[in-house]
Amino acid sequence: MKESTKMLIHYVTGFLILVTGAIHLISNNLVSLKWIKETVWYPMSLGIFLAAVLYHSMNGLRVILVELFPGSSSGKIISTTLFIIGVVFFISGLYFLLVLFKWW
Amino acid sequence: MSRKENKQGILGWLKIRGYSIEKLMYVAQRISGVGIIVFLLSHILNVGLIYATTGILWEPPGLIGKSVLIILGIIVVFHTFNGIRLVLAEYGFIVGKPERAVYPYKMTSLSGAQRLALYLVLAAFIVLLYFWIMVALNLLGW
Amino acid sequence: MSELRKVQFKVFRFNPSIDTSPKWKIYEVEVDRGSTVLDALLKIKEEQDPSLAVRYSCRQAICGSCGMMINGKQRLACFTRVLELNTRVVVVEPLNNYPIVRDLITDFSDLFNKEKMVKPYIIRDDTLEMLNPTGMYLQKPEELLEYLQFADCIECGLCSSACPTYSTDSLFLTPMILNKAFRFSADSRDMGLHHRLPIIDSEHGCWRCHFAVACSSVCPKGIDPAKSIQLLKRMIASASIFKLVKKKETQLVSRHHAVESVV
Repeated sequence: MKESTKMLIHYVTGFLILVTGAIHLISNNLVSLKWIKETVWYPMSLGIFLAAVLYHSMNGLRVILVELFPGSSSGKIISTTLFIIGVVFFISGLYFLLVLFKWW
Repeated sequence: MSRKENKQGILGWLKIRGYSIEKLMYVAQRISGVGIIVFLLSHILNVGLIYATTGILWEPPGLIGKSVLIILGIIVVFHTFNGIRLVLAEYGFIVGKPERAVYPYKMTSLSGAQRLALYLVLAAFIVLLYFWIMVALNLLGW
Repeated sequence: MSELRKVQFKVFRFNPSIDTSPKWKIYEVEVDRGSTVLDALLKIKEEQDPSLAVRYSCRQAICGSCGMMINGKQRLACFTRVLELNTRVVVVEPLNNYPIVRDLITDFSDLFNKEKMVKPYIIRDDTLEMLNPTGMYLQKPEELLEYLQFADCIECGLCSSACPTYSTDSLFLTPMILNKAFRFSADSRDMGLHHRLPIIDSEHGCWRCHFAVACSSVCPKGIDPAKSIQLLKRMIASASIFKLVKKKETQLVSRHHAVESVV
């Protein structure tokens, strides 16, 4: 993937996190808006939040590590490792979500 | 790194003296980002594992845990607002147009819309910080 | 003649081929209102210590050879007045993040190699015209303004030295080179952005800039490299993701016609 595409996704996921993360926080902390958690859309928004936040954080880490350890092979190692970590966290997080909302 | 290379390493990231406030924001964005990642990954594992093993839904923990969450909230708000400014800047919306360099030089990326956005970020941050402290004091039961 | 004042200079001394570690030497120099740091260093060299190595050429901020760290910030020695620094001790070091040749002299060859990589010249598709030029390309004043500011670069390397990314990432293209890449890509006569993309849109290309604006806060010529890098990102994003490439059409005026119209 081109670097410009990676960074565009980084910014798009940033905005997705802003929306879905706000839903996550508001529905958890404001009593009057607790009903959001009962709807079908809440787990979906949480799933999007999980994916977006994992991409955003793993790409952010990649950027920092790539700048710390420059080199073509180290770049590949960093990207692959972080991709695997991200996927593992996404699958486990998704599994917890499905269990949590009794969809499993 | 040998002395001859004269590379500053991470100290170069953290050096703020002599540069503009944007450099400080860059450092803060990085540190806050790493802090959020640490929380995020532990949060996913924590909530999921506790629920999967014991069937209890995660509750914000005691006083120390709550204080951590409160500080995290401040960091997230900062990272969000500054991130919006950075996206606008990096896609060239607020850094100004090319113009003739006439002495005394004025850098449009260090003034004008970008600076205004930076002050807005700081102002919004301070306002939200105030509300957040109110919420936090309430949470801590003061 | 304005009054003379004594100022202490703490100068970094290091010869990598002999010394194992750098040492600091303190010199006292009399300066007046107009003395620049370069004047003072040359005075030290003439009167106190001929072994001090300084690189300079024009003494008027045009050649860009005397960049150094003065009181911890990247500045041109010839463009910085001693008394305006307003400190009792002036600390002079070689520029950060470049290999040291000797004392205050740093090696820019890394930058110049990277500069070659981004093809800092106008690239055109009409090869026949390039080989046998028949005229000249017209450029409107507003098209000139698109890149004029960034063409003022004197390649003093202060911006790249100040760049936080370059302090750890030695492969990063650095502000000076990215500014160069934008200056040519933004030129209305140039058609070479897609030739430069493999380099500037790479892992260590322009996206490793995170807008710390350290480059613009040290630039002595008003280039504003931070601005040109962000505009370069905008150009790349619209070209390589949204496929929005402005069709560049430059009018070729034949030489005879051009001469006639001038005469």
